Amino acid sequence: MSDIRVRNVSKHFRSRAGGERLVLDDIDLHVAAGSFTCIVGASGCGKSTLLNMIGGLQEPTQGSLTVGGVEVEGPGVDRGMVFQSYALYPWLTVRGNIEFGLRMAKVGREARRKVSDGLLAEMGLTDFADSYPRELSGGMRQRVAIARSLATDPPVMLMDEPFGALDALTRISAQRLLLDIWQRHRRTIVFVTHDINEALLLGDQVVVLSTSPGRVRKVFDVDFERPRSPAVATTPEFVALREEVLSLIFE
Amino acid sequence: MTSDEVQALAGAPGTTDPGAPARARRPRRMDLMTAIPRTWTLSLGVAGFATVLAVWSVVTYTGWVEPFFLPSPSDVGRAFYTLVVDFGFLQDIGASAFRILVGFALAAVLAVPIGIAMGSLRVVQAFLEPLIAAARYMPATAFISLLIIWMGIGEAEKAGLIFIGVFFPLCLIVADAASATPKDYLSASYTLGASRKRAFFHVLLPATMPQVVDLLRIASGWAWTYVVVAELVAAQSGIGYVILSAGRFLRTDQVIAGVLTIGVLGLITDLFFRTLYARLFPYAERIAR
Repeated sequence: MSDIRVRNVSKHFRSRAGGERLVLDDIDLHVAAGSFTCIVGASGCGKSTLLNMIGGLQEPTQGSLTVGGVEVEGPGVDRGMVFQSYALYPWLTVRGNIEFGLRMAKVGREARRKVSDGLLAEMGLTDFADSYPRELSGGMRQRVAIARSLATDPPVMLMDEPFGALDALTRISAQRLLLDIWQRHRRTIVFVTHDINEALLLGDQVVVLSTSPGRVRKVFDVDFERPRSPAVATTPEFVALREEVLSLIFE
Repeated sequence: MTSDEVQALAGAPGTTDPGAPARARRPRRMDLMTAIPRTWTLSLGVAGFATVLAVWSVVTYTGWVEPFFLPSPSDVGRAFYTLVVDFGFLQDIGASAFRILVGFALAAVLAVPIGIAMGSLRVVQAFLEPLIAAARYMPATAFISLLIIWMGIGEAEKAGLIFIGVFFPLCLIVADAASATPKDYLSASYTLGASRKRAFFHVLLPATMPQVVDLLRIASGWAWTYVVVAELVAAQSGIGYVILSAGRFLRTDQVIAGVLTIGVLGLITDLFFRTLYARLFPYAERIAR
């Protein structure tokens, strides 16, 4: 398993007018190996940009990022990513999507099938192995996307508002499934969301970002007992924590 | 037992589930952007043709319109028959089809890879797009004189015109389709271990191909336009040539027969590409038009 270190990372975007916009300002962050970290902030705070930089899809203007002690220099199989848009390939079946990473790694047919069978069963998608993504509901599509990133067994998983497009009920079961999987396949997870409840329910650590420029307002250690049930959200501690996070975001 | 009761026990005709609600929700045929049954699509399509045919029949058989301006459907049918039997119209159709095949195939074979390269690599795009965008605005028909000077008045000139008419715009719309590949598709493939080359072949290409086939279908329509234009100038065969000569002799019936033939052949080309699309991309949504 790999820890993630973000050191003095800043990111500028050039605006169309020719000026520069500071999106992330001097971010310092440590994500322990095997932990579940949630990054929350209002939209436009640069939380997705930060995640993309860890994923190697964007470069920092300043500062450095290391994953497992190795400098991030582009995307790699050690960091799986799950997108809000699912980014499933419509021309591949559910199984084909799940096996995509294994095919890129030139894993043989039999071995691929074994992995996808396991993940299909775990995600409750066995009956949909030969369906195409467009035949699935949003919740099922996101399960496929998670299974696809798990297939290559990356030590780090980066999730960009993965449940953002799901309805409230589907979202609850998706969160539960994710926690389940995380208990079974321990890995470092960084999870970006704008839903404070979701962040507090899932994370060991919740990083609150301020908006324009994005700065780390505060890092909370969330130590509600695991496995957590949605009922934890009704406890006074949870409510107090949520209020605090909320006030930090809107300060 | 009354006959009503028997009917009730047996279930209303067409319903098999006795637990079904007494009155099913009536399907709405007029809902905006909502699918209608396939039989409706087919019969409405036929009805569209039938309407035109009916109006045409009414205005011609009653003598409202002089046959010189608009001959009746049966006159046009007879003209078509005469063209085929006495004037070797089938050879003309073959000649036109052959020209399209050469000109269009050549344009497609070059435009699709160039377009995809433009859409996926900014370097290629920056190099070619201004050129092609400018070339597209030069009307293909304006090249006819040049083509005749370069290639004479043979088959090469005809295919050349179709090529020019199809190649440039096809490059641009294929480029557009390729560059519309969602960025997340590529990002996801990189995090799943794809190299740039494999991302191209395993993600960008399959993501673009359905669009490409659909664009070829649209471009084949342009090819039918340009083949007629090509055959209006210095040709001895082809549907366009037949239409032009019939016009010279004021044979309205033959002109219309020729025009309708192109319409039918265009429809067949369209159908070919639609079938190809459905065969190749069973996962894709059906194309709209």
